[in-house]
Amino acid sequence: MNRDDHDFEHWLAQGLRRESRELPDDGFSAGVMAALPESRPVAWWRRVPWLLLLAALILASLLGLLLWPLIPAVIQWGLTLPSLALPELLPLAAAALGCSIAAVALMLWWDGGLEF
Amino acid sequence: MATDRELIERVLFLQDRHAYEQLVLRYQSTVRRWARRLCRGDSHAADDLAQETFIRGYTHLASFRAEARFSSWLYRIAFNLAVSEGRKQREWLSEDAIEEQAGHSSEQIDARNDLGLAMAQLSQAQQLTIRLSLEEGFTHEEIAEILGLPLGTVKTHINRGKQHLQLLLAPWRETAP
Repeated sequence: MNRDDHDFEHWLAQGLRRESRELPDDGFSAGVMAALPESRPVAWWRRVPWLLLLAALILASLLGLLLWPLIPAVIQWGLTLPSLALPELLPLAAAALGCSIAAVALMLWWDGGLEF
Repeated sequence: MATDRELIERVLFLQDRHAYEQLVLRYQSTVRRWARRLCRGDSHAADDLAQETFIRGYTHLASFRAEARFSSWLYRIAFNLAVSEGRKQREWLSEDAIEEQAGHSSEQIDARNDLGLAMAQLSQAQQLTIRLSLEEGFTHEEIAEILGLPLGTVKTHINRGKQHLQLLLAPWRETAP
């Protein structure tokens, strides 16, 4: 760029900036804030746990579809084991349920959807 | 005064709507001015476009990349919204899309000392790129990002526009202080 071009650009920029004026707010910002949706923006990484859970559910469903003929045999085998009588399974089931609830609560908290 | 980045983090991590209000107050004038250019001076349509821009900015704030300027990101949203309203981007930024300026000759421009009138002689693409570059101070890369154009095309629009303006405004410039 030669000196003449540079001078012209400088002069042009000054002229354009002089012409552009600051617009008064006149309630515009208040209008925007009133029109904002209630749903808040969420950072993408906060969605990671939910995506993992979804992936796990899809994987489990696929495995279930593929392996469903084996399920009755597995259950039958499980029931024949003497150590897996129903009363003894109850604490294990309660622990599994508790862990699941805790995991979902943790994810809700992580996602900002649960206030403690 | 909090930086844009700090305010954005407060919106994202603390769900602080007041922080977003500060961003709206900070950029309302520039975004509305940009919207007026995109709406060719229709201030009502421009304010609607600017409002939609800020709402879209809020709902998509998580996708804002911190390395970009917040203002350029808002400009990009406004431009995309304006383009999606009707015409395709190619038509919008066509070299042929010169505004109708019947009756405004170069002599009249000299007489009125009206830079805006001279700008109106340029194509839409040249006007937008020159204003973004010289008036708003965006880099060529940022302009390419805002308008979704290749960098080389942006440079071409700016250079051609400046050459055209140099011709149109030469007599006036010689007499200007």
